Amino acid sequence: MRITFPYIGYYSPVFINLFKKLGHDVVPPLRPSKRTLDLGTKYAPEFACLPLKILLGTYIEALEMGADTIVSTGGIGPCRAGYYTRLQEKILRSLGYKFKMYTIEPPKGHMLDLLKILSSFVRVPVTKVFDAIATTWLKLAYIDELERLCHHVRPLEVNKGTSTRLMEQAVEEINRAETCGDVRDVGRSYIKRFKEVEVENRDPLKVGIIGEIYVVLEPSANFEIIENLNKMGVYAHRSIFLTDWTKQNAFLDALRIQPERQIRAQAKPYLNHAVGGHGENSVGETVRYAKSGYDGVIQLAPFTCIPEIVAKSILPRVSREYGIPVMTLTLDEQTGREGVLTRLEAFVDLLARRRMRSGEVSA
Amino acid sequence: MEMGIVFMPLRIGIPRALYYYTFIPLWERFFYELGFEVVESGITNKEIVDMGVRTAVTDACAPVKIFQGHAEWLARRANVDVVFIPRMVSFEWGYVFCPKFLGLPDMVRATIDNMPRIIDTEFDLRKGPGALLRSLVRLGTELGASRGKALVAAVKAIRHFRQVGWTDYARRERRTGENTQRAVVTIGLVGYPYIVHDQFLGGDMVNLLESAGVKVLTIEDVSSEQVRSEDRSLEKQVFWHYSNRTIKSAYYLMRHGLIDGLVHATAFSCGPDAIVDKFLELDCKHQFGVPYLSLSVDEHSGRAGIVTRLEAFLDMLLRKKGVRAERQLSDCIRAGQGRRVS
Repeated sequence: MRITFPYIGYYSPVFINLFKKLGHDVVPPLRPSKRTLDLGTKYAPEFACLPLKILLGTYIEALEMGADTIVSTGGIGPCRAGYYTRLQEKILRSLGYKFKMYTIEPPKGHMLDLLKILSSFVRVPVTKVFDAIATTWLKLAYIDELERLCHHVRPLEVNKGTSTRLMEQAVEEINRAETCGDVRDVGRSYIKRFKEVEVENRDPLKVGIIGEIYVVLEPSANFEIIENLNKMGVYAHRSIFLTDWTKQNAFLDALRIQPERQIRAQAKPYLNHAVGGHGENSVGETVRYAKSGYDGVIQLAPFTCIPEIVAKSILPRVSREYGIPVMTLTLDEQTGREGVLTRLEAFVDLLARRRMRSGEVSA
Repeated sequence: MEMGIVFMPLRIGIPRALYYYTFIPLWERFFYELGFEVVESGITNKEIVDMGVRTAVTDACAPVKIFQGHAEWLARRANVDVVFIPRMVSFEWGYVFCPKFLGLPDMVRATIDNMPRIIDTEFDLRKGPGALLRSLVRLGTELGASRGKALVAAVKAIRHFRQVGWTDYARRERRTGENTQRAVVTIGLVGYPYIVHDQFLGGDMVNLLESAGVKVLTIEDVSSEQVRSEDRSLEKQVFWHYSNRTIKSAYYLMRHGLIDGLVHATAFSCGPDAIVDKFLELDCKHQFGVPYLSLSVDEHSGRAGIVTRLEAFLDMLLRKKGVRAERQLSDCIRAGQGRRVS
């Protein structure tokens, strides 16, 4: 089995390691490029969303490199992502590729299926499996922790580029770590190093990033929006981190503990029902950002993404009632980098002026 | 002179869009039994579409924009007391409605100013037996009826809905079905009822094709049992209510050799249809060998565009059979067949 899977930011190398530890060959997915998206756009339905197109392109590139097994996640709706592996499988087969597709469905109601699929991947003793999964989880958790720190430090760093370099080193070293203890040591040492980075002493503009999970997590899908905002001296808070999200949506949900109760409560006056994907979160998080004094919110929505369209319809009302500017960036294969950067700059200018004005009033 | 207190019944507005086309018998009867006055918005027209386009977000699909137009039209032009925008979550175990249906009342509230009271009763039949009855009773009491009255009305409405079925509207709209006994060509015209039967969006396709002597089979012509018999043709069920019916009806019609060609009427930027359309396209080609036309419509596409594409498709089917068309679609329009919509 030569396994491949979707590429997601700093997490990808960790998953490569996991599959290797489980005793498989891995064809590492490539970072999504222009070619990836072109391939995806060519074969995907026109109105499929950007994540589907990027993933389809990623799979084609991996199959070209000799992968014969694809692993991805499923879902039970109403978001389309739950059906995407079936569609991708159908398209890839019609193109003549031979491969096996494994869909990891959410544990809720499918616990047995999930275990069956997972066990079919195992080529090593069970104790080693638990060890591998524990280490992987810890790695992901530390990467999340460090990335959070990186987002705090980067807009204020005195020597530009320090934190990005530090982050890349950290990911590499964390990945090399073999045991949980090693991961912890490396992680802690980098947390310390991040705290030692020389920073300016000012209160940066604060922006919340909400939207669909893949385009929020994968920088190449959102034109490195967080890095670009940081470069403009703006602190950007990403609303989704993989470990938090998995904890809440996979494990707690399976145990029937209602996750994210707060977010739902915040969204309730505006959107009184789950609409799949991250639609409800987008609304709830905007309220939360407004309440915790953020200057603005940016919604990342793949074109035709159904839950985000629902959220997009409702956000103007939230924006009006809480007085927080919200900008929606609709992303698809036509979106150009310069266009996005220009809009970002304009939005940041607007936020800066608002803050200046409110300063005058209160002074 | 006699003076009496005139009790004005509550005027309830129901937008003629989306789920209207399948659930209207249920709601209409329920409100009728409770003595309310039901006001339906008219057939979709330019004014309604313009209203919807103005308030809805740009990347919403045409049916949602049109729904918003109908909702606003009821508020501005029909002077209703209440607009009924139920939150349809699920009507069958294992299947849910598209996320846009789930957020519909909230979207309308957030985008249209000065709406009258919106009643957004949730219908989620996954909540167990009696969920439909409970939802209707809640709806009735919310509108001021007593629990007892609401219960009686709900039972009657459900019985009526069971009798006439969700295909009632489609059946009443169809005027030409009996003329097509001798049709040489049969087309499967699949797609969501709110696209196919909305005369503005779908251009009254069914009647038009049948007046041109083409036999048309829609998803309303495939029974629930027949749909269920196609469960095995998909490894994982398509989990949206209308999509499930659409894709399996198409499979059923093709598997039993009932149609010469398949037309999938789909709305521009429809989320679920991105999947349904690709499945149908690939399966028509590789599995069934049935000619396929994906007919994409939106709020701008005029009837001429629809007719041209259908005509070309029909010509191709006829040539395949080696017969000439008796009448062209465009001639039928000129002869006044198929309803005009302004």
